[in-house]
Amino acid sequence: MHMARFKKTTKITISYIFLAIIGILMVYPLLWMISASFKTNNEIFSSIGLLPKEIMWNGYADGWRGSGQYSFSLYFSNTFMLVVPTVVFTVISSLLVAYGFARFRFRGKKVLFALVIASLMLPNEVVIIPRYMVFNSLGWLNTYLPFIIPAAFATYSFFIFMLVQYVRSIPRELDESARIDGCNSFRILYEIILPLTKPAIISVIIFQFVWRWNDFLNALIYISSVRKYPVSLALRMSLDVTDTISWNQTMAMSVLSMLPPVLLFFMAQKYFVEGISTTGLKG
Amino acid sequence: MKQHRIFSILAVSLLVLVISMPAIFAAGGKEAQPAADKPIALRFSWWGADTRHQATLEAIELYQQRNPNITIEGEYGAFSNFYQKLLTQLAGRTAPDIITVDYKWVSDLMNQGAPFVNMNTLTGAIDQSGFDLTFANIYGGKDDYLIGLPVGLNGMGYLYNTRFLEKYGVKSSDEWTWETVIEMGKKVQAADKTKYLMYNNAEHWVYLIKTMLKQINGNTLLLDNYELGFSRNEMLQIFAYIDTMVKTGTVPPFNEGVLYETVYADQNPNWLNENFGIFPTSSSLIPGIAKASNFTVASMRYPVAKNAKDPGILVTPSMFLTVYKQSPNKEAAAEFINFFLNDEEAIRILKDTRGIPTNSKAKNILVADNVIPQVVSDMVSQALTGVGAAENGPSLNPEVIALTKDFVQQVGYAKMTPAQATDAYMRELSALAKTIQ
Repeated sequence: MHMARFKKTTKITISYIFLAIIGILMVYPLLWMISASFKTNNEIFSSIGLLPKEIMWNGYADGWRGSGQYSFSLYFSNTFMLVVPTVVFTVISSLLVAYGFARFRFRGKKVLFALVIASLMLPNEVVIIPRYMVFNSLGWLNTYLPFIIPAAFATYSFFIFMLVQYVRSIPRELDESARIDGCNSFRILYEIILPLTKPAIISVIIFQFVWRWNDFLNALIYISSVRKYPVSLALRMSLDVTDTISWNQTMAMSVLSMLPPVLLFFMAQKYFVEGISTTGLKG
Repeated sequence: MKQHRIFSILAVSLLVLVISMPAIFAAGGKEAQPAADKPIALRFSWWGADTRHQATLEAIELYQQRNPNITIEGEYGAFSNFYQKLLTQLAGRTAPDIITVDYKWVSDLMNQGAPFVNMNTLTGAIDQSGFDLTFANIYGGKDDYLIGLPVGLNGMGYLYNTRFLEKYGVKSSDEWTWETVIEMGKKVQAADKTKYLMYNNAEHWVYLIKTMLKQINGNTLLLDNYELGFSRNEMLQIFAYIDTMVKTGTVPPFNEGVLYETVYADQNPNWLNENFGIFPTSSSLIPGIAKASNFTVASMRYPVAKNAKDPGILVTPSMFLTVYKQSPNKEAAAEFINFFLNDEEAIRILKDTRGIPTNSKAKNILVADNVIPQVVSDMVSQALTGVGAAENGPSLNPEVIALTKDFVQQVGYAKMTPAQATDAYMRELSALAKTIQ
């Protein structure tokens, strides 16, 4: 009896140690980045240790001030102006479209759904030039419209697909009973489907927020004024081989730019779990 | 049914209205103004890092003060991705009025219909008297067309750690040949097995091949007619030399250097920790490397073979300033370039942030002010003693360069003997030349 318990404890201890080592390995680059924001250039490239030999305190303040005309306050607010409407519109439009595909029968549904999925398979590189031409002729270049307007028309097919699958898993009986109670289609969406889809919507928000936040290529192509740069472009602005790069400042700003997505994730996690538990009636 | 149709028509027209709204507003804003002193907005794109950004913005500020009707918006960022963005902008006809162009892109851009104003037609607006136009034409010209004006000058050379060379009894001089390099490499290895004379990053191996080839027969890798610029024997000699460098420990084994083959010495721990002492580089990278290093650096001339047909040292313009053909304000753009390159005050603000100026007037001012770092001007003047023939379009082709890098690796990792590598390289390069022609 005693032996068995001892065995169990050692087993648990060993697995915890093992997990801890793996965990440290996984977060090491992240910790290194934070510590690098306090290191000198020379140390950043010549050692992989975490504790700086000589602490540089200026990384955050100087980095925030930026290199040229604008500070990171502007770049951060630009990013929010780009990302927040995009996320909001994505959620609204994708849910509407997904609801349509999941709950209604109409002519050409299969073909249309196949088209949505087909656009999911299309690599971004293929459409980037034609899209640029279209946005150019609409006069949308150097604005955030190329990000926001397509989001309002449900062009992010991945999210449609995800929500369709989710809505399909909600029992139709709930819709039917609501219909008997006198709800029309929109009311069903609002009163029945929306609350039950909350976990999926939260995932859409998290995914879309993080992807748009980190998006470099589209921002690079559509935004040309430095005044309108989002953080992802601003971070790269000072990296050039012909000059001394203050790596600690770049690292410091990278740490800060990671914060909003991370915070969002932890804040949403609570609702995420809550959402899952309220959908318990599914089974 | 009828109602249905009306609804569709309404919906469609609403959609059209929404989509065209920005276009309508944009068109409304562009009302014609009286000609004199009408406000002009110019866009100017360049790459670089903080020092260059700040100096350039300051120069722009000065220009705007002097010309209150002109505003110039800078579009700046890092070098990587700059070209992709430029190509997209050119495809969409939305490129800035004043564009910075790297010499490596020139032949590519010329093939795409030369989207820049011919500099030779702007002699009235831009004072070009201080420029060596022969040099400008070699890298940026074709027949009667010149893509832009070269801003700075870049020279290739050996940057070295003075303390390291002294410690291992390696004497620097501007008379090194390729044999000296091996001899010194052996000397360092004899003293300490873990130290190496030098390190070439992936990019530099290609320069080494190109330079050696010019010294052997005066040719570029591919000739203008896309034929190979070398015989089997000549390339074998070069690959055998690379093999010797690895075998004698003049350079570190390839599997040790691989982590740093795409970066420069300022990010290479083996340079910072003094495990090797020479880094071949172009002069524009010196300030960054020097600042990162905890030791003194100096420059010596690039190796030149004894009876070299052409000394072959690479001297290139650091970048061209061009005027976009589709720009609505070409004259204003040219005037700004004139200010940027020739105005005394602007020169003093910009200093050497774009390399040593090619404009002799600007260079003289900076030399008199003593603002060019000694080691940068050393490397450029050493390189100028042995300027090689210019590179041509085919040899600067990115695919040709990638293929060449591959074969350096084959030899470096001893996957192929120099003879095998030569045969395979000649075969594949000829095939590639046909496809890019």
